[in-house]
Amino acid sequence: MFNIRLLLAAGLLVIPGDSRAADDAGKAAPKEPKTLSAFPLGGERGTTLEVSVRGRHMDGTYAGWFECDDVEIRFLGLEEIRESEPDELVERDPQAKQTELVGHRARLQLRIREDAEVGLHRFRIVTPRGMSNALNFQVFSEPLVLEQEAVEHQTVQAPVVIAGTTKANGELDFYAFQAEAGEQFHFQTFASFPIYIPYSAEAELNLYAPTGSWFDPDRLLRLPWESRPLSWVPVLQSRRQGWGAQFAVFPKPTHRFRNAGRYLVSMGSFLGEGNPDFVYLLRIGTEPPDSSTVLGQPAHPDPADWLERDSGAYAQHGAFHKPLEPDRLKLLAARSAAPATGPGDAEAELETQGDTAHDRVISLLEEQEPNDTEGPEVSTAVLLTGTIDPPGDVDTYRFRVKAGEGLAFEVETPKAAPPQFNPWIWVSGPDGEQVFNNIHFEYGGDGDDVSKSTERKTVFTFQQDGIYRLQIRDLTSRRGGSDLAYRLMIRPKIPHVGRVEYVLGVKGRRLGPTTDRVNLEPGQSKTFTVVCDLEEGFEGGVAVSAENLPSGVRVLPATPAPYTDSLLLGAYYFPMGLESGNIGDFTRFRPVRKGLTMAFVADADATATGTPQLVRLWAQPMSGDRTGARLPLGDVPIMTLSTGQGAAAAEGKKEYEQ
Amino acid sequence: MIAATVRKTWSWTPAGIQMVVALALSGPLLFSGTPAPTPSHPPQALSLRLMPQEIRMWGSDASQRLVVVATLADGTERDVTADSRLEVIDHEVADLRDEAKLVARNDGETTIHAEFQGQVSQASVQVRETRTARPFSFSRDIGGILTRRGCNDSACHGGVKGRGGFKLSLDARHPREDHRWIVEGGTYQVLSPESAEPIRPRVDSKNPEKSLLLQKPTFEIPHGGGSRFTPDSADYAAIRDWVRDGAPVREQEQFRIERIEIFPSYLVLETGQHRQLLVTGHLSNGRTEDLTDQVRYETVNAGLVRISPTGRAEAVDTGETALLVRAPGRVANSRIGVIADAVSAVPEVTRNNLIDRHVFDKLRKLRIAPSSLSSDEEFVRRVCLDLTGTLPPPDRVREFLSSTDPAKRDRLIDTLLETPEYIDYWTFRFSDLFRVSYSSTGTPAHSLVYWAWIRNSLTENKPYDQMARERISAQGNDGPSRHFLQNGEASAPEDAMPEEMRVFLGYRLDCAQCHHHPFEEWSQDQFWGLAAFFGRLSRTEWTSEGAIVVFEDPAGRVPDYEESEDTVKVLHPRTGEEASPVFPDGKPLPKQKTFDPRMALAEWIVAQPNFSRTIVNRMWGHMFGRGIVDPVDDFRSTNPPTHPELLDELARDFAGNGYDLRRLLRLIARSRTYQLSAVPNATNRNDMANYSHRVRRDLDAEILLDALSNVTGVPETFKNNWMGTAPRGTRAIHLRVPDLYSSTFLDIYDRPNRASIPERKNDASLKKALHIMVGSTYQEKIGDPGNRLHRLLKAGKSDGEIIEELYLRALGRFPNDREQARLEQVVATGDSREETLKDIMWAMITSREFASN
Repeated sequence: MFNIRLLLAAGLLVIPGDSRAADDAGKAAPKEPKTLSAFPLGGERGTTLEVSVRGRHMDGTYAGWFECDDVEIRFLGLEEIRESEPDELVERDPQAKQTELVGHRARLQLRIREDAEVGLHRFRIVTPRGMSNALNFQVFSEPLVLEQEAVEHQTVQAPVVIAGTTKANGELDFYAFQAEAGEQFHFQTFASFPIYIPYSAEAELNLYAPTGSWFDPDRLLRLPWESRPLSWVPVLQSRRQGWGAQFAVFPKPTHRFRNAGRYLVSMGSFLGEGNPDFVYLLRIGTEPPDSSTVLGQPAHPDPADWLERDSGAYAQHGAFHKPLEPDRLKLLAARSAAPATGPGDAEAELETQGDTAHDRVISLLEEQEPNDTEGPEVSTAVLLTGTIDPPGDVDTYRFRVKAGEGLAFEVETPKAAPPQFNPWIWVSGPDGEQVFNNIHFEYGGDGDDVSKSTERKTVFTFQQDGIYRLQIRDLTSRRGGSDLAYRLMIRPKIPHVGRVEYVLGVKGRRLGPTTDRVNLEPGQSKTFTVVCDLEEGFEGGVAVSAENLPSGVRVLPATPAPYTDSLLLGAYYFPMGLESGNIGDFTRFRPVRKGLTMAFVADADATATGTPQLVRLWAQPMSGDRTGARLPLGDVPIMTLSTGQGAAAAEGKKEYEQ
Repeated sequence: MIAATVRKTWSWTPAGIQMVVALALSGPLLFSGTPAPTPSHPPQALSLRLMPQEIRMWGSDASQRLVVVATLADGTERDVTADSRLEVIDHEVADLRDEAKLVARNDGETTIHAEFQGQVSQASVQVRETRTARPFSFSRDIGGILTRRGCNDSACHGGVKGRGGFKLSLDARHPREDHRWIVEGGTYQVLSPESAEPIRPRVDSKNPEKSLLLQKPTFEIPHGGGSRFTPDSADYAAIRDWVRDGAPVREQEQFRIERIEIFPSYLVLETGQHRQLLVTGHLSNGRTEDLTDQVRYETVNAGLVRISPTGRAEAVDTGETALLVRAPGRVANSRIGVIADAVSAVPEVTRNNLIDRHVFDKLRKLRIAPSSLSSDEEFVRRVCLDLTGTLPPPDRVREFLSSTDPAKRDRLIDTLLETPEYIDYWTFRFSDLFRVSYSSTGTPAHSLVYWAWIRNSLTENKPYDQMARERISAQGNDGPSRHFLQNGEASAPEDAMPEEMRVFLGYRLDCAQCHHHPFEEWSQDQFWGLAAFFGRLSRTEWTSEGAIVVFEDPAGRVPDYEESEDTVKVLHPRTGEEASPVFPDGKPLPKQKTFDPRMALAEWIVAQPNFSRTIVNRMWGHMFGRGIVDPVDDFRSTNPPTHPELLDELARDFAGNGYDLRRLLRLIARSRTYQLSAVPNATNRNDMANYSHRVRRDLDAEILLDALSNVTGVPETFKNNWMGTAPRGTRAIHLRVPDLYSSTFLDIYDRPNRASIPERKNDASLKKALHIMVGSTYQEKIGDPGNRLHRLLKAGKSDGEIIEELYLRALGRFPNDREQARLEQVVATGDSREETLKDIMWAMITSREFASN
């Protein structure tokens, strides 16, 4: 594995996530506003509160803008920030030293509707030079308490959501609360720490009892968490803009207190970094989080979400929570322009029997122990439910296939998910030999590492007739219990269009968004890429259209972006001399990925919109002369500007610097 | 800015030197005078023992050497064989020869009597199968000669690559390999079964006398090892006849030596005295055989004890050493203490628990008087540092010293074992041992969960065998599984296995990776058989950000770049064959356990007697600065324990009481042995291995830095390499991933990087001396305007109060009258009160008394 820290230190790696490198590189182009943090990071439904947004190039801000109507926003005013950035940040970005680093703080009033959806809402500030990047704002149902800097051990009462900041390196914020004997508490954090090492833990929570000690009467005794101290939490691509990391490490621990008393929890950054933009929310509650209390999840589902892979991820990381239901074949049919009819395809054979793969009925079956070595014969359109319990448990099923028949094996883990529960599927043939399993080999890291991953979906075409045996277990033999529940679907292979999403901009050799908005002056154009996952042998095409475009703005096909097909494979690095980053059976686990380059083009007479608006992009599968259903592939925030805003802004900044 | 201020306002002055001298001269650690020992007189025999007490002889050529031991009035034992009268009752059954050797004649039973100074002893004799000779065995007969003559010693042909193109296994441990080398010839290559040079047999079946195996050791042709025997010797004849007979193997499993036993296993001699050893072999057929004349004897320290080829030990100088006895395939050891004959009887000492019984019994044998019980001042500082790594606060010192509770020491030990500081300290210690580091795991988040597992285990006082099982067989994504990641990749079997064996069983097997262990019984096959338990160690990467899952993959570990799936198998480097999991006793992994081999290995490891011995020894080493086996994780036949019975009893006690680490520490801390003073007496001044007095040792880097921060009241700032800072007040022992935090002080004081199992040495060095004089750590803490001294001055404390406070905090004691008066005088006459007090503080925290425990 390569050492990111080393590359950072050596100045060999420019962090795409920190756009200052590009922003402040002395270009003459006008600066788009850039927001860094919002405090507080969230608010209670039905309340009105003032939020402070810190950022750069925010001069001229005149409004704020939410993507939905759940939160009303009013711009109150703008203040200058003349403090310099912490030395650590300057050292990290040599370019930043060349520019005097100043910023702004915008004051916004937010009114959260009583019926606002709980979850993350995206908002931006608006300037004459366009809208800023999005910030997340969490809406929740519990009372909000703000951190009191002057109080050493701030007392709070659960349930509560605390908003705080770790302003300085090494800062720990302590919150005290009362617990009854036997009472279980649930803690959650959602932080917006601009840490650029994606696989380091970000926020860290610790639990203490004020027991004192023979050595020190004020000593706090650190208590072990009842549950895991850290959790790997999916992070939206928009939050990790440019970096490409889909996961951050946030603690979501629980603890049942044996004794009644006063306890404390500390909040800080894992590696002790801090600055005024390190904002966080800490939820302390006695009820386990559900959809109305969980932090960090989007309030409104991503229109491009599809029950297969995670957004922005080529591998199936984290996709084990995608629900599997008996209507899956219908859903797949909607994403398929036509049934596959290739020679020797089992589906064609089925079709001739008056039954198409799409029309088959998924049966349901619950596992019956004992089934460690032998199990029931099931159909090849079945949803199996079971539990790995006790540790080392193996559940066995049998199914019958014909030579040439293609099946897909999908698994959902509705409770514990990887890395706590890693479903491991083995399929062995009539001779008892293993035919395949759901572990995929792939080159990763800096190219000389080979990684294995357990895959949520495995597609396999059988070469021999016979009865095959499927076994499912946990990757380890240490874990078992009701949490290790699975839903395993065996179904016919159905060629279809999987996830389709757009990416604004491509930087370097990596496919990932370099921006999350489109600010257009009249006469300007900005390209974007549509990425289509063609699953299970889909060989057709995809048509793209747009709705709700601003006046004078069109979407046009463009010449391909200057990247290679390898970018579409999702691997970041490739070993020298290797054509592909994959060493296993690629099609068993991965779709074919195709990219389409397009452009937003503003006519010379396009009028300024004044505020951003969302443009809905659609995709439609095509095969031969048939088309499938329209699939939403996302909403793009677009704002058209007045001509010359860029020049005015540049002049304004010049005056500002004087 | 602070550093600049320090340089301006405080610097090292001659007064500092005076303070150091003052402290050094007035501390309580000076050797105290003890009464001169009274000379001893030749005592009378009180009893007699003829050894062995039960003699069993099998075969036509069976014999048994005899030893007569008298117990004298002074409690010592003497070998009086030469001065005793021996008599066999029935000469038809057995007869005596020279040198007190009993020879079998006919089947039957009889008795043998010994008499010395009117004391008598007798032994029963049973003789069987005198019409049958023991059948030839290559390992016993040829291997025995090669062992006894030293041919297969590690310095000769038993070395890793052999010598002179001729390789033998050490002590004939691998007879079939030896037979091949002798009969077929060839030179040895470490990683290949092929011979590097033309094959040249060592035997000549047509002309046996021309065999190199005879010509070399008799020096008929030049031999680097010199002459080992003569052509007229029995050994020569045995080898010649064997060659003449076609050089067969004819291994006789039932006559294989399973174990050898030395009598006595521990021996005390006065200088000039001698003692004949008896060596008994326990054979695989359940019988015993006298091997006294068939083995090779070595002394670890010939300056203390000499040993003859026939097993006669002679005491040369005072001290303690070990004797090694090498038989074909087996090594055993015996310890010998040598005392001066003028030492008087040792007074009885109070014994608190089993530890004292063993330690004081041995001291008594060695005629060493233990030091007196430590003072309360000495004890309170010692036990706080040893159990918690933390200096006692002044108020607690005052409270302890003023208490008249006779059980206050026990109470303090119990209290300390329940403090958060105990958890902090032992988490630090076990994080060292278990190597929690960024350089190991490659990701801070991995290190964090690994560290948390250790801390939680100690917080709940998890049984140590459970900790071991959890780590050895770790899977998934939890803390202990992170140990099997090296920079995110699954550890290679040949790296993972030796570490587990060393940590939990105290065996260092690394050498056996490439060849049979050069000094021990570990073979290369055993190494790879054990390594194969880790051969399926693999990992998936659930996210690209490090949520890695460790698991057992029947397909093998993850192949590295350019590796094929074949190369990820565990291959024996010499044979090129795939290694299968095999326990060291040769038993393969049961088939039903093949899916989870490491769990089976974990069960095997915790069931080994050495499992408890190793952790007991390790904890003992932490408390005393020296293990009963030392180094603490180097158990081998050639490194015997100083107190084997104590180690065994502690291990049994530990295993029998739930593998409870706290209980073990309590037992050690409550012993009088642990609580002995560091002030030696005339009898124990030179004793460094028998725990007759406290041997002070330097504080480890982290403990010392924390103590400096504590005394000066200036916490250390730990900046990490990832742009963050540890929370203010973080101690060095709190750093969870220490190698993320650079520290000049810790580096100078030899903080280990945990890339391998740490072995702390704490040697004196020039860089440490320079850092004490001009180093930033001392200067900045003493010059800090908010430090403890400034706070005391600001609070209006008098000179005497400040001096007392510093003494209590740094040294855990009050200044004595002389120190108090002298230091108050120095302050009163100094140019600047503040500067002089800074000098005193500097002198205190740079003193030997402060920096050691």
